[in-house]
Amino acid sequence: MKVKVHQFEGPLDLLLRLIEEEKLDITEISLASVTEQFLQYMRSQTNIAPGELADWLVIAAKLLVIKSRILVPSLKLDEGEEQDAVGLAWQLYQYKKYKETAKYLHSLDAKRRQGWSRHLTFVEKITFFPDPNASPSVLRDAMRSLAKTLEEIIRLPEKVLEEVVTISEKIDALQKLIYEKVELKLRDLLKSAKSKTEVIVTFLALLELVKQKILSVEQETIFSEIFIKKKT
Amino acid sequence: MTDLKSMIESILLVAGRPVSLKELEKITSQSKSEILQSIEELKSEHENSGIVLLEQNQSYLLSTNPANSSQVKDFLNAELREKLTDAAIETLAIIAYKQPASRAEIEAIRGVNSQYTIRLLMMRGLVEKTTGSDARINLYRTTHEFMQHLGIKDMKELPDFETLTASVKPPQGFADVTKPEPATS
Repeated sequence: MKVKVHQFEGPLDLLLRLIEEEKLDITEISLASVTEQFLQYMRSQTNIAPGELADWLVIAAKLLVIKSRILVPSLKLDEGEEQDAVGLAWQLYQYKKYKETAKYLHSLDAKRRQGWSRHLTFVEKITFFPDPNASPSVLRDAMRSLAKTLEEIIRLPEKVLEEVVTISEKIDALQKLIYEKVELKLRDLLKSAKSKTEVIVTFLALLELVKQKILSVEQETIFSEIFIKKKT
Repeated sequence: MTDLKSMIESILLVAGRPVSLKELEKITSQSKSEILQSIEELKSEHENSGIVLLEQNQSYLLSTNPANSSQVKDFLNAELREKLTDAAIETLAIIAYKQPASRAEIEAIRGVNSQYTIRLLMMRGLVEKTTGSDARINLYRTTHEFMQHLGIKDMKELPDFETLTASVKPPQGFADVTKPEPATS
């Protein structure tokens, strides 16, 4: 099934919709069955507000716990995970109840029968007293300075994302190198590193390959050159 | 007794804002119970009149009867209050039925950050801040404006939570143990 593009009020709203579209009751099994669609929707939405992203991820994680427990019944969960899994069905149930009350308030809102009190009527009738000194140029200056302060509020701190080298990438690269050369020096490997992180990652990759008994290392004295060889 | 009732009515008319029970006590020098009784009488007398008496959190406001909404609006040359968005209604419903409700409680139910929506409801005057036993936690409750916007004359008109949600069945293996606290008005 394809999830229709629609603005949801939040992850629970989407979950409820998915379950109701499939005409399922709120159970762990039905939650597990819509997990795929939930994740698909999240992937397709690039405009989830950053402030809400964490909320979506929390629900996604809970769904995955539920799903994995149903797929692997022998899976042992710790107490917190267990609670998350059971809790989601309960949370959704509570949410659905308040959705009903919201529906009722919505019907009242749609009737458009409203009341006013005396004070409010005055406020609504007399809304603007311009200052006698407010000339077009004064107003223009005021707006300029307001725009300037807003600009400062809106300007977010920027940070450049650095390219990240993962350990598995380094492992692949190392293995390739060792096929081409019989012996490598660690110093040469680190020469091309662009950052301290990359040095660390390279070293971790090397340790991993040594552990897997693919490479061996030799060092004659402390702080001297480390030679890397293929393990024979 | 009759005097007290008419006193309260006059005060509420000129106030044009919600007047608290405490204020009425001070001005009329009458006891709480006598004032409350007069209020109840005023409320039922006004039920079908052009002016209704709205109560929220033990404060009182005279307001036009929502039945005359469109004529009053035209006379004032005003617009009706804008309809609320789905997110706003959802949050408002939680506050109305759980009040006083904290932001954490609201977010636990909605599963999503609600700071912005709550602020919007406050700006529109539909909810206000209050504090409970722990003064560090902000709680929210509905206002007279909430009643005026939705055309509610008495909070008792709102169906109770159990009635509204009777059709929602708890998930397997759960018995419904949580009942919200009754609305405080």
